[in-house]
Amino acid sequence: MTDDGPRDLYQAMMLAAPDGIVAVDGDGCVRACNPAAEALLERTADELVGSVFGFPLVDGESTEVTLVLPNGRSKVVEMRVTLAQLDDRHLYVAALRDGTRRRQADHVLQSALEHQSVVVAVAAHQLHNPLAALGALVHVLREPPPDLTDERRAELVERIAERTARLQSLVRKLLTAARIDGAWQQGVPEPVEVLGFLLERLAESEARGRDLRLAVPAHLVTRVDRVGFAEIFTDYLENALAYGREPVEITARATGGRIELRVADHGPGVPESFVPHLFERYRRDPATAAATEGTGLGLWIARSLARANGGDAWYEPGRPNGAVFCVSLPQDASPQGGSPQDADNQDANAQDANPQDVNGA
Amino acid sequence: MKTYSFVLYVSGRTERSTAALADLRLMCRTHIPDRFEIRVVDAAGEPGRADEERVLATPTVVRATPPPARRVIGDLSDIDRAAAALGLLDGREMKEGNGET
Repeated sequence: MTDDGPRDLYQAMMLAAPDGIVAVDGDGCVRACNPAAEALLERTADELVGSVFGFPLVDGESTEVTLVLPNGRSKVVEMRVTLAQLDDRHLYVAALRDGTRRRQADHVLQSALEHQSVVVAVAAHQLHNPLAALGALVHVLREPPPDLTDERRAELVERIAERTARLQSLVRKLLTAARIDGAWQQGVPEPVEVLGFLLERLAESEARGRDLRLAVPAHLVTRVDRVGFAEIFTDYLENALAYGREPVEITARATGGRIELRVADHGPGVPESFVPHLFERYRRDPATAAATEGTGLGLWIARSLARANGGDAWYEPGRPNGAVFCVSLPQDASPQGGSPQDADNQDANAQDANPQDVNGA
Repeated sequence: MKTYSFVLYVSGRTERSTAALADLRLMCRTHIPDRFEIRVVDAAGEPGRADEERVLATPTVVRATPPPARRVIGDLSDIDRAAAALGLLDGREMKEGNGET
């Protein structure tokens, strides 16, 4: 309960209401308005009270109207109308609600739903073919023909292992893409010693027996989320091995407070016309898409993660041929990461360093 | 017989603008057949005209002639209610804002 009179309460509510309130009489003439209405209509109460707003009509609960603002501008709002009574007079109370934010939220939601549908469709499409091939191979082993030799059986098992590895890689990419889409909290950046980290990744990768050459100075330290860095490097390596030709050269150096990692192959490189689209999601070079399995996600993931870590990812044509995929990441500024002076030394060391053949890492 | 003149203020060629004009025409044909004229002003294209008439929002219908001047704003799809608000239903007044005349 309160001692305030009804008129005081009415005024208090008018002042506090988030919606623009315009109270008009039976002739559509404005009798009162609140500060929110002044803000929405960009006119003062002195200008509004006594002017003719119009008799407000809605069909159902509400209707959209376009506010005509000074200087030829406009704004769409939702209008609701209720009947009130003040001193034996009828007042028609138009509540004006700015729908801009709601429409923006609707648009974002709609885009997210459409995007999710595309993600699910692409994932289903990408998983379908390898799984079907895997199923066919398993079927042959389950009901082997009488003339299946041990050699042929071993070959089938090897193909199953290969396809399983591809599926694992695909699922990893889909999960990473979902993580980026969902703005999941990324790992905490930490100092990572580049050479040791790359050697670990190579040991875990499917690159055994491939011609890989590593030229990375010792004590080069970046400050990144380890999971993201691993994903970037794995995507670049898989890309080079799938589309390029060996040897694949992996180099790193410190430059201008950053570390720059480059993965170069000796294949045909990327057609100039496709370069602008290389890092777009789901985009694949039509010239290689038919012959090589791929998702069109790897490079998009690499760039997204590089940027999330304060760096960037890009492509350069190889000299005289081939493709060079590059990523820059922050250099660690802590004592173990080295000073800018050290960075220059590391750069010199990298140029002096002979590439290490890590074949069979 | 009086001829009624209306000005419909809209904002651009939107679905809402088209619907407002269709509703207004239907209202006139129903309540004052052959005795009406309608002009449409696009407040987005002619902001000066809307400003002169002190139009605060669209769609707005202004009954220009005969007097008394009346105007309505919002959804015109309930044509009987719109007609009453524009004073087309002689001797009958709006009651309680529920559309009854």
